[in-house]
Amino acid sequence: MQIYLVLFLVFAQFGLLCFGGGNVLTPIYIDELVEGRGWLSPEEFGNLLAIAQMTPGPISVNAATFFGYNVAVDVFPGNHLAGFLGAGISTFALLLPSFILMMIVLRTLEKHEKGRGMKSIMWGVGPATIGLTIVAMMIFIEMSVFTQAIPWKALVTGATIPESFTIRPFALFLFIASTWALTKKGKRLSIMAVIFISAVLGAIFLKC
Amino acid sequence: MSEKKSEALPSSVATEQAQENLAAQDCGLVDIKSIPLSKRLMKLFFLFMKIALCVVGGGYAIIAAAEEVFEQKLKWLPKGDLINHLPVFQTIPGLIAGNSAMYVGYKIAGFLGAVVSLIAVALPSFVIISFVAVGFSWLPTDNPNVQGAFIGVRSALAGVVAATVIKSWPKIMHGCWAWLYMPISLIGIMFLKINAAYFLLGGILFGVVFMLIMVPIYNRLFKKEKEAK
Repeated sequence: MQIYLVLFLVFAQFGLLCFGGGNVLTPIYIDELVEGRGWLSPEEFGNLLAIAQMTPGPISVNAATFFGYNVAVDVFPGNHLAGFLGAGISTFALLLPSFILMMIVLRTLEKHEKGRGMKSIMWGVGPATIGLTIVAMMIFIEMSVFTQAIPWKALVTGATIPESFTIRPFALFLFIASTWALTKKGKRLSIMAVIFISAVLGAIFLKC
Repeated sequence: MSEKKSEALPSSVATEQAQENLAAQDCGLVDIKSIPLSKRLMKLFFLFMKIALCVVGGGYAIIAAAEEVFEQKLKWLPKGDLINHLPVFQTIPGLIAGNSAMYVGYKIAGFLGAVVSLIAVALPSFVIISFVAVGFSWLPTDNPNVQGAFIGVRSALAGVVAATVIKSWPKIMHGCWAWLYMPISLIGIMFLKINAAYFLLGGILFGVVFMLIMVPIYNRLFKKEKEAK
C-alpha cells in the first residue's frame, strides 16, 4: 500500500518540475528512480525510456505510466493488476500539479496583465532547461555510444582509462545520423521513423 | 437572382453592409452557449483523443492540430488565441499538450471541460503503454539482437535530444543570464551530481526576483534621477 503513496508523491514532484518538454525530466528521473530509490537499474531505465519515446503520445505521460507499472510489478511480482494501479496513480500524480496550477491561472488570467510574470519565469528557467536537456543527451550517449559512463576524472587527471570503457562506432554513427535527420533543412524524418530505423539497424549491427 | 440584384443596386452602401455582415458571420465565432454542454464535452473528449493519438511530435504539434480543429474548423475559439497563450502553456509545469488542452476545455465548457480534455489527451497513451508494459515483461531482454536494438534506439534517442537542444538553443541562449546559468546548471548536474530540481527552482526564483522586483525598482530609481536632472 505504501508504495502507491510514494509513487504518488514522486510523480507529483515530477509533474511540478516538468518545464519545457519531457526530456528535461530525464536527469531528474535518474536522480529519483535509479540512484535515489534504486527502483530501476540503469539499463532497465534506458530501455523503458526508449519505449516511452517510441510510443505515440506525450513522453512524460508515457514514461509515468511505464515507470509506475514497472515499479509496482517489482514490488508485487507477476501482479499485472498492481502494475496497472501503479501506472494509473503515477499518471494521475504527474498531471495533478499542472491541473491545479492551470485552474488557478485560468481563473486569474483575465484580471491580471497577461504574460509578464510568465515570461520572467520562462526567462529565468530557460537556461536550466537547456542544461538539463544536454545532461539527458549525455546520459543517452553514455548508454549507447560508450559502453559505460564517461570516466571524466581519469580523462582530466591523465590517469589510465579503464579497459571496459570503449566506443561503439556504429552507435556513434546512428547518433550523428539521427541528429542530422531531425534537424536538416527541408523535409525532416519523424521521430518515430528515426527510432524505428535505428532499432532495426541496431538489432543487426550492434548485437553484443 | 434578378430581383435581389435590382434591390441591391440602388444603394451600394447597403450591399457593402450586407457583405460585411456575411463576412462577419463567416469568420465570426460560433456561439458556444447555444450548443448543449453534454455535446460540447463529448466533442472535446473525442477530438482531443484523436489529436493525442494521431499527432506524434510533442506539445507544439498538438497545439497546431488543436488550432486547426478548434479555431479554423469549429470556430469555437478566436483565431490566434492558442498561440497568444503559448507563454502560459510553457510556463505552467507539465505537458504543453495537457496545458493547452485544459485551456481549450476550460474556454469551451468550464471546469468540466478542462477535466475532460486533460483525460482525453492522456488516456490513449495510458492505454497503449499499459499494453506495451505487459508485453515488455515477456520480451527476451538477454537476446543479443534485442540488446542491439535497444542500443540502437538509445543512440537514436541521444540524437532526438540533441535535435531538441539545437532547435531550442537560439530561442533561449541570448543574454548574460543564459550564458551564465546554462553552464552552471550543466556542470552542477553532470559533475557535482546536484539534484537537477534545484536548478529549475533556482531559475524560476531568479526570473521572478530579477524581472518582477529588481527591474521595476531600477526603472523607478533611474527615472527619478532623469527627472531631477
